[in-house]
Amino acid sequence: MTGKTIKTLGALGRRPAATGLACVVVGAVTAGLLSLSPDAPPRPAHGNPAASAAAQDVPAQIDARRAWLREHPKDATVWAGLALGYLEQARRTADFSYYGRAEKALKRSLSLRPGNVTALVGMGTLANARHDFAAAERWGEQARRAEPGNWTVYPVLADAYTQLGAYPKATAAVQRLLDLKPGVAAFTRAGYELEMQGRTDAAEGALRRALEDAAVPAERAFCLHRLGELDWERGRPEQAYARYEEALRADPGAHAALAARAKAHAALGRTEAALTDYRTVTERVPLPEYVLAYGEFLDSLGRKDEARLQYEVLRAQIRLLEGQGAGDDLTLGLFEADHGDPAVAVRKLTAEWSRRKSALVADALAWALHRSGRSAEAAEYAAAAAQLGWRPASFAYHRGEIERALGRKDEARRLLAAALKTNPHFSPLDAPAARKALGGIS
Amino acid sequence: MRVRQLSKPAAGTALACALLMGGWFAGPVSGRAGAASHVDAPSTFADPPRDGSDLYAFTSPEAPDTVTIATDYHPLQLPGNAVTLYPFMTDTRYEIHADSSGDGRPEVTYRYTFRTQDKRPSGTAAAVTAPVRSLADKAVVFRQTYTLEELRPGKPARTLVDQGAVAPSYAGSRLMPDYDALRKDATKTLPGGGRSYVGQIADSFLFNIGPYAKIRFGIPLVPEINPVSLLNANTMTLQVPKQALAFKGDPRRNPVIGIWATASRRTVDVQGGEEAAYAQVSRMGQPHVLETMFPDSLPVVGVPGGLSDQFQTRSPAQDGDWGAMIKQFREPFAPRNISFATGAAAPANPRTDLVDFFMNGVEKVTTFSVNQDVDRAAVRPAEVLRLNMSTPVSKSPHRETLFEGDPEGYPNGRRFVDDADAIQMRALMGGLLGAETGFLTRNNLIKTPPKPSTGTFPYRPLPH
Repeated sequence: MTGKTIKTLGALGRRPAATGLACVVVGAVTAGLLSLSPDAPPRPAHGNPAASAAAQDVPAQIDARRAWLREHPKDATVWAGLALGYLEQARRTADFSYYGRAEKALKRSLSLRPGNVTALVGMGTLANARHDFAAAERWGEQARRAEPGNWTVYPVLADAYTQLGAYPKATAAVQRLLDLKPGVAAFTRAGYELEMQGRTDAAEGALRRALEDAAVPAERAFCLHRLGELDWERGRPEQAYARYEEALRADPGAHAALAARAKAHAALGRTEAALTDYRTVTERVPLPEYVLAYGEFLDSLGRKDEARLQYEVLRAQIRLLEGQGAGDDLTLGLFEADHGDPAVAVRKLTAEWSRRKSALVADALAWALHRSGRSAEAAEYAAAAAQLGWRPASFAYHRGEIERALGRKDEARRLLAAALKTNPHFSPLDAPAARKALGGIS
Repeated sequence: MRVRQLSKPAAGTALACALLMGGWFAGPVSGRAGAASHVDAPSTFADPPRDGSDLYAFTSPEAPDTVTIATDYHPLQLPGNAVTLYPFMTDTRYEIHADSSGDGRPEVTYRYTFRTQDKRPSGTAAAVTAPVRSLADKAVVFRQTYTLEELRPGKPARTLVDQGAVAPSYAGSRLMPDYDALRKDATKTLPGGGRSYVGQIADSFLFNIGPYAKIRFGIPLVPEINPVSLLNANTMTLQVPKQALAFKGDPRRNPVIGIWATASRRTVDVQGGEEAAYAQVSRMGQPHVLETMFPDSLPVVGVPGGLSDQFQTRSPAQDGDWGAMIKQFREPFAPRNISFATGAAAPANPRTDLVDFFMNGVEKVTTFSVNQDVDRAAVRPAEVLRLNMSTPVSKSPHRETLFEGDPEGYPNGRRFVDDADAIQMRALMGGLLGAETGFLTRNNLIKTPPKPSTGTFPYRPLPH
């Protein structure tokens, strides 16, 4: 029945030019009206990246808003819209120089109309993008106080609370979003929320609904990539691969799907294809997590020099991001713990933990402590990371190794086996290590 | 400022065209084609199948002890052809609410829900594979059925229609030589009186872009056309006994009701509940209220999450406390536009007459104080479509209703012949305060809906 419905909607999607014609006729009429208006001028869409309402041609929208603002420099809403366009562009291209421009536009908007919710949401979105989740919470809460019925507030709050580890608040924000505006923004966040609760099937259901609603290629690709990740985390690399492929067909610029396809190729033994994808994605979008994955894959192939080169790139890239106010201490910490200086990792991640108590930070800090020889302290954090229903293979592996170091063999065996059972390919370096460790436990 | 604005129409038009095209083409790509003619909240606009376009309510001319309530969705459907199909959504509750006590909460709700049976060969779109004259025909390969329930607070739901057939989208005269026959198959009689028709219609909206341009944008001399005049829509047209709607079942003592329609979509529960929750995504009461009164209502220029979006999710019971909405009525943006376009003088703000018009009703006609049995203290202001069921059916209806001596029709219910924009334009310019406003609309060229109603239920014109 559901499959049938999806098919139906798909068939409807291929509606011919006639619909387009109707749009043109009505559109031209309305557009003509808008352009002549004395009071309600043809203001460019202000859009909202959280909703991807503006998920069409983002650079063109940015240009249109800038053109508008040259003539109407006092239009606070369009200043905020311009910033949201920059943020969406930053997300798609991973060019974080947009953040500075977004911030300037948002400040302009707020100075023109203090407290306007569009700009507050923009500030929150920017803070989330820069991993300053406490600031995102403040902006989001300010926006919520101003307009509690405005759905665009809740993606900011949901993301901030999730990353801060304030899970009950995150759940409530996601639910509020679902109740105000069931659509792509809500269903994708519901997918993440349910996944963290360990309700993977429900998460998949939410993502499928997001996919049904996805209106533009970038949205479709995002949903397909996330569905692929669910398959991947459950140890189904073939299904995951198919999803990533589909995502890339929908939007060839979907860099997250490309990086994910690389790891799926690797898991399926297609080394050359994996290397090609990694090379492409790291050249195009050198996000620290992609560079780290590439480096570790090279490492796992025994190509140590090339791996070291990527690790250098990673360090440089993180410094660059820090310069743009978008540091990534989580990736850096995990990197230092495995391939650099574990003491640095502990320092970075302890600082991060003081800022936010998320499961991801707990897991990374546990691992860094363990790698620094402080496995007893690590165990506490590893337990904290496991408090959600979420059980990614890497968490189980980290915890298993910590237990092994503490001499708790049964627990270690159970956890290492669980990691490999959940996803036998969870990491090109750690999965073989887990297998070896498991064999070595007498 | 105005002069400067008007001096650069070409660039502006090009820009706005480009933007609008971008937004409106996003639909077809995604499988959610079309654009709401009755341009609505920015978010609802992107979701035509759940976009309520029109609500009508009137005493049934040939069955005057009943009221007909029509809710139309998914506007801007193309004329009948074999490659387009506009189904109702199966994850959505389409509801009609009637408040008879005046507290903004429904005493009765009629809920439509849909199921789909799709046996179309892959790659085909039409609902039928060969010419059909009956819904029983095996060549009907795409079927929707609906359940209609009557809900009253504190009582178990009552099923009025089970597995009612939906008339599929018109596939052209070759495949559907007699759509009226299909429509008869899709018309159900309700237990206890009344009828229900669900299917496609020619859009009935009496809309005129010329006067609308004056209201919304202050632009004179825009050609008078009705952009929906060749397009179709989906309808749920329901006829129910007046007793079922009136407070205490007594339409004589309590003839006034407030009606609104909502679409609520099944959402996801992330808080551990078992029951799937439904989120209201569309709301409609009086015609064109958002378009005429809410500055952020248009697609593209609208603000996602703004007032118009919030309106879609709210209940009339909350309207009296919603200062931001009341402000739109007290300090409307449209009179300035109309003044600019027509030279007429607008009354000064604050416009308490408009707050009354939109939220309380016409004194002694559609206010809840007319109802003898209601608790006056519990009556709340609310934006709903009010109907006094004791108003007789007009022998010679006038499109501008109360302004032209016709007591029936908007704002006393709404008929297909009512010119809602003209009526609102006159109200905006002080027509309710005694100002002379007839000249504003007298020379309008569009005086009737695109296609006339039929004389009997479901009254709706057959699709194009």
